[in-house]
Amino acid sequence: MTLSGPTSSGQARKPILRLTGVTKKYGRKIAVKPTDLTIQRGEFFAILGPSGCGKSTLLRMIGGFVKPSGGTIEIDGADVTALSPERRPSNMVFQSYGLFVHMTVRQNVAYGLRIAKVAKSEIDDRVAEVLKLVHLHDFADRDVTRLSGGERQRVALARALVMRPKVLLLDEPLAALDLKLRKAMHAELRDIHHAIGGTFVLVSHDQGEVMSLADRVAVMESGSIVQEGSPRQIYREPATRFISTFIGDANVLSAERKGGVVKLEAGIEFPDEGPDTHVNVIVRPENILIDGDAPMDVSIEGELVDVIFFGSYVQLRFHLDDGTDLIAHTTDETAVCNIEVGHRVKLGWNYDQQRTLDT
Amino acid sequence: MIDRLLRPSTWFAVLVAIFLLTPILLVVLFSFGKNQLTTFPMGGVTLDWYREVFDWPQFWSALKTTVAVSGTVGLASAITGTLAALGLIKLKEKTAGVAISTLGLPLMLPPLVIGLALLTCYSLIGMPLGRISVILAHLVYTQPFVIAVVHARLRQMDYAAVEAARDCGATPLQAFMTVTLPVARASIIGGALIAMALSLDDFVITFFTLGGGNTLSTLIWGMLRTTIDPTINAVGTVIICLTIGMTAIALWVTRYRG
Repeated sequence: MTLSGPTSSGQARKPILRLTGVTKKYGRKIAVKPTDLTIQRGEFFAILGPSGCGKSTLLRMIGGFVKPSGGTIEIDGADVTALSPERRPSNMVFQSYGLFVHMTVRQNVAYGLRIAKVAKSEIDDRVAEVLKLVHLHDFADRDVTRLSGGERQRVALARALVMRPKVLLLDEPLAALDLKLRKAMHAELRDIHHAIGGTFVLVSHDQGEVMSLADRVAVMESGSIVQEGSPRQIYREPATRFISTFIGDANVLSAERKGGVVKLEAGIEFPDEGPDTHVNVIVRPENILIDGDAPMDVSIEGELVDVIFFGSYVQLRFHLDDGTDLIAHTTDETAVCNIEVGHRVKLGWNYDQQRTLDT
Repeated sequence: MIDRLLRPSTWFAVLVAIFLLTPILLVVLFSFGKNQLTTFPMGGVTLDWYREVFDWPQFWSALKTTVAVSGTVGLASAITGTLAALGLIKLKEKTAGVAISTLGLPLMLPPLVIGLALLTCYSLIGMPLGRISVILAHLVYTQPFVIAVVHARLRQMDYAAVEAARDCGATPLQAFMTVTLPVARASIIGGALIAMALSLDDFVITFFTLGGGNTLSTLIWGMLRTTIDPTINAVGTVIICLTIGMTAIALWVTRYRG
């Protein structure tokens, strides 16, 4: 490196995508509140949120399809805020695919290169290469209208990838596929990301999809990013009650903190420093211990009301004395065999498995 | 099969079809008849009436005007209709529906009222009557058809395809030429042909706005005022062929979903 900016701090990686105060208003309605976001080169980044939270609008602003009401978008150090989609070094995979229905698979994929007036031989090479990557090389000359949903999805992916975008934008790309196909595509998307090593930005409302694909996740709720981190981090340490139930299952127990002691409505107490306020205690179902001899920091009695077999685990629902329900997941079937519905059981968990959130 | 033929509803349908089609068939039939009067018996088959029509300079001048008018109407309504449809597609489906109904209001008005209104309007702004005024008048009621047909096709289309084209580097014009137009082409051509057929047929509005000269339909009307003569049937048959031909092509083109 011969050149370095006055503010660059030597080792710091230069982000490929940087949003600063990006916001979108439709009339008086705010779709995206001022948002800052930095995505590193080579990351598989996901924006996760329920429908209507503004995640698609945010992605479409990055792609150039929605004009931000404020803020700047930089890709690879260049301000692209005012550029139209065709002038941005990003490519998008659309939820509805947006395939060119009057063209074959090959023509669809070659479209961008043709527009860019790339030499014929190079087009052929790059199209063949990318079709191989998405396993469509046998379908190259088929009309896209004669493809299945999964195949169409791959065409859309190939059409974007062939442009070698600096940032690949994926707008709920798998939402139209059935569960089995979606799972297969997860593995394939990860393989593709490993193979080409680009920067992917995925928008999804499917937490399972995000957990299995992304290196880093931003959770959005009503127009703003509420938490950012690795999937593991977000699962383990959800910042809000909403995130705890949106990502994975969670028992949310209502409690009151007074003078450094948290008292659950279900009747248990434990020490916890913090201001006097109403709090929620979050415990994941897999961290609930059932009737074991194992020592537990918090213990409580509950009546088993329901057992559901999910294959790899069993879900048990307990009724606590104060009327709240407690869900437990266990992979240990022998533990379950001893209890019958209607029985009262000792339940509990350890302090390091719970999370107390002020409300 | 036999069951179906015996049903009263079948008979009713056949009677209605006969009632609707007989007059048209008679026009075609009598255009080939030897008899001066359009009555049976026809007294033999002849092409004399066609010969007479084709030797008649007024027919050719009317045909020329008709072709010029309906050709221009087809082309112009295709262009304006497509542009309007492209604008409407950006609106919500409901809003676009309201806009299309509003634009289509002239179709619900009696042609007599439209003709009269246009004539008043033309004389008010001092517009001379002639081919141009007829073309503009025809556009008033042919354009809504093109808008409706093209708009319907564009609604079916996945708009993300246009965005995808832009995403792949196409300018708005390139995206239109390579993605939107190929998809909408059949419906644009179909819409234009329907517009031409409508323009060809029209008598009332043309009569009000033409001023001097004749189109085929005003020519027939003029002929009717003097004599009922089998040459009318010959001209009528020419119009029938043109209209049916145009509509058939339109149907064939628009049914093709490429």
